[in-house]
Amino acid sequence: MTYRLSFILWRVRMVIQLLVTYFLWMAIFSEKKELFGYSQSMILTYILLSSSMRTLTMSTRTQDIGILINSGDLSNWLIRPISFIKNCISREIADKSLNFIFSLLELILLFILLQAPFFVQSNFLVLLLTTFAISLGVLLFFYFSTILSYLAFWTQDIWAPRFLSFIFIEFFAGILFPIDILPKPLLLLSQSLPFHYFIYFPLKVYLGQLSAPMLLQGFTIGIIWVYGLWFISNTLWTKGLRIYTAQGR
Amino acid sequence: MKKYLRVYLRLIQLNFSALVVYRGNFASDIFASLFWGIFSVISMFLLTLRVTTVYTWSKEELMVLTGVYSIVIGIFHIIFSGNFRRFSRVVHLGQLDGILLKPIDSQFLLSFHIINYATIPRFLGGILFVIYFLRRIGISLNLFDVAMFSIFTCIGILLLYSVWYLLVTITIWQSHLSNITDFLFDFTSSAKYPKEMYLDIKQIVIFVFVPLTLVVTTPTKIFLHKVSISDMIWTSILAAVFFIASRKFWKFALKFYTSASS
Repeated sequence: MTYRLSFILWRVRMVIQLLVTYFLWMAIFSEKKELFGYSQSMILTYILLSSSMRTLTMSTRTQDIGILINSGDLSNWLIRPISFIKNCISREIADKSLNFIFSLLELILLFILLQAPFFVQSNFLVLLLTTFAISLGVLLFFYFSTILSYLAFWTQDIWAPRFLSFIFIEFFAGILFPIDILPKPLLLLSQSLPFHYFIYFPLKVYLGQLSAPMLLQGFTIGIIWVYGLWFISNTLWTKGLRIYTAQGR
Repeated sequence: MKKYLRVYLRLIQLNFSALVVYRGNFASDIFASLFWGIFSVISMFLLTLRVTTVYTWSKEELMVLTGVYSIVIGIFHIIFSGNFRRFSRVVHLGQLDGILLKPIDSQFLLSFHIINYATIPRFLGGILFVIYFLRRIGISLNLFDVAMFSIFTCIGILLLYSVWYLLVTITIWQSHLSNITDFLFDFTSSAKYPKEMYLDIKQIVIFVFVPLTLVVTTPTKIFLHKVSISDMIWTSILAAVFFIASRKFWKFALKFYTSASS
């Protein structure tokens, strides 16, 4: 709240991103009742919810780790009697909680203003599975982002890999569109990557559009991805600390 | 005028020298810029895969619009966006003092200091893309079309620049406002879709989004031979009004600049 205008700009930016995507899909559905197997209300529900999902799974402070490493300020954290990683996790939880609260308020406001058709899930089991899917997405993005940040142990340029990854995530996470509208080869590629667990998979679970075998497959592969990215993240952290020289201090 | 031209040529040389020194950064910036351009094109292609028209725009016309967006944004990124990213840092660290003391217009120096050569491939890619899709539609261009397109692309970029400058000037009062350029990037992305997409909605939304859509829609319609006189007049008027407003606002804001003990 110290930098209130920065905060307001950041929230307005989120709303603008959502509005542009929303209007685009409204325009696409202006002459058709159904496209790609989705009705207008289903797609608009997807777009509105993807905004909240994005703040929950993809908002992060882990990009600061790369800056800390490059500037040498990581040393200040390493000499403290607290775990740096656990501190990062605490900050993540605080940051995501704040983001999610405001995102929900914006969603409610937009829902009222736009009179958008909205699907509300009432099945308790589905909601439980959605919570589990969101947790998978949160963990996956956390470890993915830390992997990108740990590259700072080996290179000064951490911006370019992160920026490139944003492009892939924008495409394969299902932010702009549900990835099942992609042609089959691209759909298979996106399902083999962990990005669709950030937005697409939790939303499909929420919309109740996945069968039991697909849910089982999705969760199993998701858990394997979590373990894999955790392992890579831990390995990079351990190896990185061995060569860390606190350059710039 | 000659002085400003000489200074700008010198800045071009200095920026090129920096590029040659940091070649790795330059290469990764090119990749990133090209990928964003390709991503915009592929997204638009996928979204319009199963529709024939979107608000009277055919699929091919929307692809031309996407290509023109790459051209316009490419030029904007080459000349201006690096300077806007630097803006809040310059104000926050008190570096604006040095700029104000120079015998040259401060808005000029702030706006043209950095040139981003890495976006040139995206700009060139946009041109090739537009030519390809215009051929598919069966539209052939003459010198007049190209001249009008160039003029209204420049007018559109002036409008975009003026809106950006008007908003980043707020950093004079709020110098830590480093995320204003991120906000403006997202705001500008609304320009890659047709103006008609926003016309059905509430008045306040029209007021916010439609001026920006004219930046790309007007030059595109010139190539498609669909431009109306009102579009051209509105784009020109808005560009002039916003430019004058940005200039006056900047002069007004400088009265409140207090430096940072430089």
